[in-house]
Amino acid sequence: MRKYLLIVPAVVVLLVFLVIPYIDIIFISLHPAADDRPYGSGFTLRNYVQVLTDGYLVHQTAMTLWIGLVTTCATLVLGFPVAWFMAHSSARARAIQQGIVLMPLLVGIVVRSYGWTVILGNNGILNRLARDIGLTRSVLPLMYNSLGIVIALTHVFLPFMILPIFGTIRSLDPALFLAGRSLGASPAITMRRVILPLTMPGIQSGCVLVFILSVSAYVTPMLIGGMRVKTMPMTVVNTLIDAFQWPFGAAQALVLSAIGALIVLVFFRLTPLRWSR
Amino acid sequence: MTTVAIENLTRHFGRTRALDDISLSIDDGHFVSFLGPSGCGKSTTLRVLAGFDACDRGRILFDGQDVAALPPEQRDIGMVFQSYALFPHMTVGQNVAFGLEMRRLPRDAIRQRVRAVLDLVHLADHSDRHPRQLSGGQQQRVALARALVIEPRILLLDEPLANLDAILREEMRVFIRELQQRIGITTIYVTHDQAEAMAMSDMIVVMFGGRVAQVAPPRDLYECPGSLQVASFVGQANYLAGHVAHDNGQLAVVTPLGTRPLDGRSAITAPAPARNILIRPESICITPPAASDAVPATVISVQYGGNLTNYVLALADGQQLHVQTATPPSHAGGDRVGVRLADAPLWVIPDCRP
Ligand SMILES: Nc1ncnc2c1ncn2[C@@H]1O[C@H](COP(=O)(O)OP(=O)(O)O)[C@@H](O)[C@H]1O
Ligand SMILES: [Mg+2]
Repeated sequence: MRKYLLIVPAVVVLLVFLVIPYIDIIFISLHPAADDRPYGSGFTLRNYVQVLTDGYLVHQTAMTLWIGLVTTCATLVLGFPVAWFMAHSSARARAIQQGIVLMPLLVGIVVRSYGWTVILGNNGILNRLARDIGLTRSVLPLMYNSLGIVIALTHVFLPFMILPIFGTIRSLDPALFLAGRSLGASPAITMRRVILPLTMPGIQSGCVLVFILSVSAYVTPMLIGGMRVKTMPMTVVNTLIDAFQWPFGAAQALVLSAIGALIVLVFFRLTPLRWSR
Repeated sequence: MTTVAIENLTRHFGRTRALDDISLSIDDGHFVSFLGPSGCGKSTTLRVLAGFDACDRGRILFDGQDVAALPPEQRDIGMVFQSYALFPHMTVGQNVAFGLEMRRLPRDAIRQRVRAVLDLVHLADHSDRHPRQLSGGQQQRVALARALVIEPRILLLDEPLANLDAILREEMRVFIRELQQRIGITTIYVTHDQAEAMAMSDMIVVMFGGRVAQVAPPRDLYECPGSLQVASFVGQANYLAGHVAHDNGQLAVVTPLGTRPLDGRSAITAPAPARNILIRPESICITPPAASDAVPATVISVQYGGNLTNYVLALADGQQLHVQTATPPSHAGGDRVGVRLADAPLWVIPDCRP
């Protein structure tokens, strides 16, 4: 019994700052709007109907999820080799590499996102470079679109993909790779048949982290999208704060969360940890 | 089948010279052990042979063919790792089948060969288990089966028994050696355990600090070590200062404990002064103190080992001797006894003065 005392603080924090607000949001979303108060009285599902039938919102939700998906894939493709490389470096080199991977996290997200506007902007570094070497005359559309958002989010969330995968690879016996090779498998086949399945727990954690973080990202899409591309979190904030429509905003947020959770569930189903049966 | 030749293999890691000019040839079907203390380069040699690691200099020939350019997956080797490295997400059967799938054998053939090799290692009814559901000894046999099922040219084993308990280790020694002889596969075995190497090998390669110290069959290694270092690493050893002299027209070794003929395998052909004479603990007999031609000694300690008893004795000049008898302890610390040498020829450690 005593051991449960250990989790009491965490449970209290979660309850007060996560579960209760969530219940509150659900509660608000089920009420009609009111002019003079955050929400009116009486039960209604209208807010949900409105979210799910508004073509613009549906499109935005789809685009937000798409950005999350592409960002997740990009960080996975970029992050896995880095994690593999780090896991097979000497202890000294590894410490330095870990520092480099974590360093971006030390710089605030606003600064980092702003940094990307300097690089991706119409008069940014990349565009100037492209013009100077004569690659293009017109402006490359790198910012104010979903491509720019994906590029920036990929950078911002890469550590969250690298670290869990790195941890799993480190926990694997290095001889496994050699065993595959000694049995006649090329490096690529050993990777696919042996290493990848065994790294799945790390890949799953990384993917879920990055997906959820990028779907709910606010600052980066706002700065890079420059209000010309809007993701759902931006719309939710608009609805809540600028339009002061708490019930409608709450419904938007919950629909996004629910679909995100569904995608995560399906993802877990499609990538089963077969050997842990 | 397959012969292996290693020529002038050299490998540096930064400043460390892990392998220093290793040369060796291994006959077809032989069981060769690399024996040496931790860090002497045994695993590095094996890794270079397997193709996991490159060498700075030197050649490796399988059946006379230089394999330097071949990646591990094309060298046709079977490898057993210290950690076994079984694929944890696959069943025993899938683990064993992996190498055959890579060779694109038809499904039926794979099933047959997996079954046959699992029979060979007495694990036929464990085919559907996962490695973590097996004991250490069983995992070890799966690793062996997985390496053997592909019928490799050479079997490489890196301290495969290091993670097993003592009893199982001795069983597996016999098992592996028997299997190897039945199949007749050229085998290279790495260990730091001299008893293991002696029990299993046709030939032992003793390594120190990246160099080959001696290559010899187990018995020659034990009885005729080429240096003090080898003598001490392979079993327990006493060294007596002595010399080689003529005795009745033959060469004899004169020691403080008596004079015995010189071992016929020695390269010494003339009387020689001041040499180190190797005396193994079991070649010293304990006698009553007053026995004829016995030298007086004092018992320092006695260690009972069941089938054997180990004594530490001190001679009058203070030199300590390790003595081993096949009889139960008949003396205690402080007893005065006599010692004499068994009636066997003596080995003089070459080029090594006391
Ligand atoms: N990948 C490596 N990087 C640096 N040094 C190594 C590496 N592998 C082995 N060494 C060094 O080479 C020497 C021989 O190592 P090894 O072959 O593993 O010894 P053994 O198997 O006999 O215990 C040791 O000094 C070890 O520290
Ligand atoms: Mg080793």
